[in-house]
Amino acid sequence: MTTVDPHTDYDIFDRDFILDPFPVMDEIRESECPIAHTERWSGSWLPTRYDDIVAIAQEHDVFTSRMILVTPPPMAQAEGAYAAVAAPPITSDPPEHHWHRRLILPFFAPQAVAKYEQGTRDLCNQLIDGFIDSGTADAAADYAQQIPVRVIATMLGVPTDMSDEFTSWVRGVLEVGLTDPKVRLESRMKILDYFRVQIDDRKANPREDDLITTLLNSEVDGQKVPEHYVHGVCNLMLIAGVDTTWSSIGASLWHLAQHPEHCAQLRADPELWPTAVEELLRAYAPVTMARMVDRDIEFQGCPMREGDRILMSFPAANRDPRQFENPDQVILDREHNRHVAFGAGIHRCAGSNLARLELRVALQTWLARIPEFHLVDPAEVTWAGGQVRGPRKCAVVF
Amino acid sequence: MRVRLDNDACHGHQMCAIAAPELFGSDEIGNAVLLIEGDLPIELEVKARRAEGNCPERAITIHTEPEVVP
Repeated sequence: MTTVDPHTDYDIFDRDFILDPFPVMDEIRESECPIAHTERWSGSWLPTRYDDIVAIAQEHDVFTSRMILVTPPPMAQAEGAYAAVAAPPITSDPPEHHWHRRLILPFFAPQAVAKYEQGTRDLCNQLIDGFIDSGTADAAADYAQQIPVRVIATMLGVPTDMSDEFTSWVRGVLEVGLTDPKVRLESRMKILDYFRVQIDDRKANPREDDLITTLLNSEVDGQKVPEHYVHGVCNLMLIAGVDTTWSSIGASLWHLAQHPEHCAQLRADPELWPTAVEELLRAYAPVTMARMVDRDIEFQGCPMREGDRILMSFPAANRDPRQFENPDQVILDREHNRHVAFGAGIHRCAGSNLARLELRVALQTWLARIPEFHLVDPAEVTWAGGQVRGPRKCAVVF
Repeated sequence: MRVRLDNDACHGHQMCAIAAPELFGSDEIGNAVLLIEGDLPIELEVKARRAEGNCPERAITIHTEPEVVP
């Protein structure tokens, strides 16, 4: 990123940008034109100010969800048996968006996700049992990566021993797949094949208290919901519920490994947890979503054309000094924190209550058993980036 | 002090309920529910301001002027 002008030629897949995107975002944000543009990866706009990013998220009729990934889908995605399967409600626009979202929200309300807390804590403890005696662990691969995939599998009523396969499919779509259409399509087909079988199973053998069964039996305006909707929701829950939360847990542990004073603060004052979790979500927001411009418009002086892609970098919004005092500092008791790690507007992350529960439980359980730890070598930590940013290898000693 | 919640602007971030659980709860789909209508007990005023300052949708407003009774 050092050799190109980020205002006209940014590259969200650049290795240096993935490692530390914040200086580039700051440079764009504080320039005369805080909305950058690139022709790379089929072209996109990159706003960097909090108010612009929130406005885009809220103006869903102009900035549509027809395309939410930063690179175009593989050509063959529009063909074959699964052509109609998207990832509702994240890929939906009003008016369908309303019922697409209404049907799944009750599963993700705070009072609904509370039942996963004890199971998540037990899972975290089991993972720690596996490495605590060795005095070293990979906080990303051995811990963070292992948690959300199992919670989501439990929620979907599918076997948790498929976790490695699920993880590899999700990476195939969102990590490797964004710049490799072949891997993206193959991974999508594996996910959809898998859930096709699950849906057929629930139709033949309906289960009590089961998310897929409940969705299959749901009705809208007196009509059963189409199966491709249920198929799409399963697709979404796996794709959106795994590497996002894993990235957030991993980045928070990476931070705590370098800030023993924050670990000490959290041990001394458990009442800090609610604000601390929100602050870590703010500072290390993993997700950048894309929107597609519906019609030719001028937005903040930028001539946007119908079909243009625009990125909503929630990490950039969350570091805007116009909105957050000392945005680059993690302040565990930050009092006013309108962060948008989960987006804003009608597409606010449906799984946000589950994600923050997992993040809190993962960090609490880790700190209870591993109160002091540090990075083996900061230079050896590897990060994934693009649309979901978080550490993938993060060796620590304790 | 009174608190108003704009239900149309709320999109269920739940950050108000995290900042002020005595004042905000969740409905069936996770959108905010205001638990205390009318004047707040004085000890909740700080938390009310915190809830207001944590809502990304700016759906919460604080009112300190006396209520006008027509």
